[in-house]
This record gives sequence, structure tokens and C-alpha cells, in this order.
Amino acid sequence: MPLDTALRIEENRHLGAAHFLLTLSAPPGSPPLPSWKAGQFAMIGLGLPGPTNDPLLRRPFSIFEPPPQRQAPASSLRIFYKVLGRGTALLARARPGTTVPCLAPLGNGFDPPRAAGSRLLLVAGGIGAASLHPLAVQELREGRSPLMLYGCRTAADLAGIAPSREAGIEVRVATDDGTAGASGRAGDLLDRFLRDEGPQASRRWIICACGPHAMMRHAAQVAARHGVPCHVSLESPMACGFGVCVGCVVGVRDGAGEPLRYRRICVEGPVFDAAVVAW
Amino acid sequence: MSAAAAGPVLAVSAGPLALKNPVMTASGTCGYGVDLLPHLELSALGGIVCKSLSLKPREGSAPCRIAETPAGMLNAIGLQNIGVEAFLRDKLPELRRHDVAVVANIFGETVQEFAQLARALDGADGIAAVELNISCPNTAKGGIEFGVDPEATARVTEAVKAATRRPVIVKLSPNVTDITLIARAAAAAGADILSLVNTFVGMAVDVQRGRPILASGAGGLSGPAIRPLAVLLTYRVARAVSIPLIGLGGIRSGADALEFIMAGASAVQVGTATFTEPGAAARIVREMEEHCRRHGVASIASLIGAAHQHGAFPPEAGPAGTAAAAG
Repeated sequence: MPLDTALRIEENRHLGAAHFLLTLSAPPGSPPLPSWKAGQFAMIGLGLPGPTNDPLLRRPFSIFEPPPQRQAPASSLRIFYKVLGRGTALLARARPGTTVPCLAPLGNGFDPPRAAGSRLLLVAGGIGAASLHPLAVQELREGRSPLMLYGCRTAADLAGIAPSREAGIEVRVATDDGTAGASGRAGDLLDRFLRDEGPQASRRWIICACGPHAMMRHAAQVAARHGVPCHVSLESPMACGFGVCVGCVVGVRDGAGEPLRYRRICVEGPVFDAAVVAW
Repeated sequence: MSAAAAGPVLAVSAGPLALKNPVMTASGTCGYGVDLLPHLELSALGGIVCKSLSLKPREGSAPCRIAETPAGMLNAIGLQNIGVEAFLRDKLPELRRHDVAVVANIFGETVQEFAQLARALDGADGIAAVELNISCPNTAKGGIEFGVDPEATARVTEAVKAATRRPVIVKLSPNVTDITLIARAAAAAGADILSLVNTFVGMAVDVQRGRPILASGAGGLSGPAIRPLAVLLTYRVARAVSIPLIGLGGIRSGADALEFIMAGASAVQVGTATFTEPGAAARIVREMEEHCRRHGVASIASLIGAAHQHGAFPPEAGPAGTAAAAG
């Protein structure tokens, strides 16, 4: 069950190329944070003390911190974000010691059905890596070896993958401009990888993807072509994050020819089977 | 025990609708009420107004459905809802377990549909009142079509009154030249209560892409940005009709709620604030109680319309400063 609480900013560290790692903790005497699953998210206020009229809404951020072991309550969590708009620009200016409202954990999180011996192939576009990171760390903890494919614009954006590499996650990179790793998009990297894997790919791998909409659509198409299961963590502007505004929907079809239905990304998602999403 | 020790009386009556305190959640901002359960005790509230119900489930509008604006937000949800049958079957039994007035908001595309919805709810236990959404700006048919026309407002109000024994609340749109004409028409047609206001129609443009942010183009503006507009309309309607009012529009605090009470509303609805803080409505009840305590107010009902005692503002003036026709 999500908890709405005020958390204290312990650190708001710039990691380069507009990427920030935010550490939030429950102040002494306040209740501990309920445990969460990889891929769940938090609605966070933007670093001004107290409720603000402008910007009015909190922002959704995936929880970067891996889930606490044995589902224990936690006293702190981290958010990894990139300054992309007005909200994140405000958050980047927030100083340690400030308290911010935080409603978490929200959404369904990743729970890919696992065939024995299969490995997770994590396809990240830019800051989408932040929601895949805790899943990868969890895999490592359980003795498996996930592989992350990371697509970004240019070499400077490798800041977005630094914490994951530090955590021991194997990452392969593609950049739009070819300044680091392979040249091209994350979906291209995925396509080449699955081609090299050959017909075994569909038994060996399960794809989890997060990034810009076009990138996830591309990844879903590539995955379908290779017959590999694919789960995507979708993004949307959100007003509430807990289901009541019905503003963050995505169109889904439960099968070919089935009617289009709108599902709330914040409650029925953010993780969906890529095969049901009406891209 | 002294009155002070017992605490201020928060109970109010909006005509036939008795509420243990004046705070309700607004339609479209609390799901079907049960969606708030992880975040607050429903029994802490005077009432909840469920999301607009239609006869059949509706899928709503294509995304993008929301856009943040200065001190507010636009929405174009398009009344996505599970339909009245599923509400009665799946949601109402749980709601009945909580000590809170449940108001069913209904939406029809025709007068007949409104009446059918009211009849469907009339037989159900645990519905305190019916609220008519004749002011939704986000549907092609029904909704605001009724809310901008005094005659259509009267027709739908009469039809619903004839179809239900429950108190009928008519929710007014601010997107009219003179809201008092619509208010008078609804009152004359038998409305028990008026709630005001629904959202203001607005648009935000994505300047990178050169097109409206919302897929529907226009949407309804809510949040603190509209509060002064809504307070004035409440004040005006309070002078135009004698039936009780429920005020809403950008309420975020106990003080905000008291603005509407003092402008003439018997109760209030909290909407967008719930999005930014799931427990907002319960906090607002506490803040109103605290205000009464601090100011020695024995009963919050004594504050209803307080702002009208201080001078004559020209309530009959329309938005353009023109004299409106007397109803």
C-alpha cells in the first residue's frame, strides 16, 4: 500500500550531462517507507518547501533504489533523473535538508514470467535506464546475469549508465551520433543482438524495456519479429499517480480484433506486455 | 461540557442532504470513492461524489488527456467510466460500509438517459443524492450542451426529479454568459441543490510541435487558478437562488473552503487537490475545524454566506459588466 509522506533530501548529486542522483530519507520519528518492487514509481513534489501552486502537480519518477531485501521497510530511497523540463529543473535546484512530498510505491512494477534458465535483456533509452536498474540489481543478487542495452544521443549521456555499471551490470551501448559504442538506436542494437543469438533467442531471453515511446515501440517490434517476450514500462504525464484522475491512459488490445481499451499507466501499469499495447 | 470543549459543530445541511461536515470530494477526482481508501478514512469526509456514471461503460478520450498549466491543469478524460451497473454491483457495496454520504454523479447524452440513470440508482441503498453532470466540456453530446441552455437545464432537471426520490444536485458550468440564468432555471425546475462550478474550458499549445497538448484540443481547467472565478460565481448564484449551494473550484486548504462557505455555499467539494495530495480532503476538514476553534465559531453553518453581510457588490452584473435579464 502506498504511503504519502514528507522525505528529506539527503543528497542531490549531479553526475554530468544533466543527470542527478537524488537520495531521500524518512526523517527521524516518521514511519518507514513501505517496501517496493523493481519498476514501481513515486510521485514526488519538486523541492520547494510545502505545497506549491506552480508547478501544481507532483512528478512521477521510477524508484532507482533496488527493492529492500526480504521486503523489509526502508528508511531511504534514491531517484535517478535527468533534467528534461521545468519540473526536473526545479528539482535539480533543491538543496539537501529540504523536505519533499513523496507518494510511493505506485504501479505494478516488473514481474516478467520466467522460463527456467532465461536471462533478462534490459533495453534502455536514455533515462529509462533508471527503472530497469533495480531489476538488474535484483537479478545480480539472485545470481543471474542480466544484460542491458543502452541507447542514448551522444557519449556524454553515458552519465545515465554510470551507476548501473558501478553496480556490476553488463551494459552495451549505442549512440545516435556514433560517439560511443555502436552507431544507431537502442532498437537497432537489440535487433543485431537477437539476430546474433539466432533461433535460441526466444528461449534464452526475456526483454524488459523503458525509454521514450518511439524507442519502446521499436523494441517491441523487434522483439515480436524475433519471437522474444517483451515487457515495457510506459511513461505519461500524470496528475495523481494513484488512479483517480484517469489522465495517464494507454490504448491496449487484448488480442487481434479486440476493441481498443484505455488502461491507466499508473495503476494497471507502468509495465505492460508489449504485445497488448496499441502502439 | 462547554461548547468549546465539545468542539465546533461541523455538520451542515444542504437542503435535504445532511452532511457531518461540509467537505466532499468532487466527481472525477476520487474514482468511485473506494480508490481513496488507502489514503484516508472516508468517514472523515462529509461526502464523496463518484466519477460520472453513464448507462454503458465509456472508454473516454484518446491520450494525451492532461496538461499542467500555471496553478492548474487541463483535463479531457472524456468520462471514462465503468457504467452504472458495474458501479452498483462492484463499488457501492464497499462504499456502504463507510459512514459517508455517497453522491452518484450521472451523465447522459439525452434527457431520457439522465432519467434512466436516476431510476437505476433510485432503487439502490446507500445513495444520498444524485448529481447531474450537465457541464462536462469534454463530450461531443450531452454534458455542457444542457448546461449552457436554461431550457435544456430545466428539462433534464424535471425529468430526473420525476425519476428519483433522492435529492437532486445540478452541477453548473462556468462556461456561460450569465450563470444565474442557468441556476434559476434549475431551481425553478425542482433542483434541490446546485453545485458550482465545473471546469473552465481552456487550451494549452505545445509550441515545439505547434499543436494543442491535449489530443482533444480543448479541456477543462481546474485547480487554484480558477478559485477566485469560482468564488465569485458562487457569491452571485447565492444571491440569485434560495436553494443551497455546494461550492468548488481550486480548493486546497481549509481557508480556501471557507471562502466558498462565506460566499454562500453550504458545503464544498475538493477536486484537483486530491491529485496532488491523496489525503487533502481530510486535511481540509481538520483545517476548517481548527479555524472555527481559533475564531470561537460554535457551528460552521453560521459562516454560510458571511461575505454577503459586507456591502453590496453588484451581483446582477454579467461578466462583461452588462445587466443580465432577471430570471
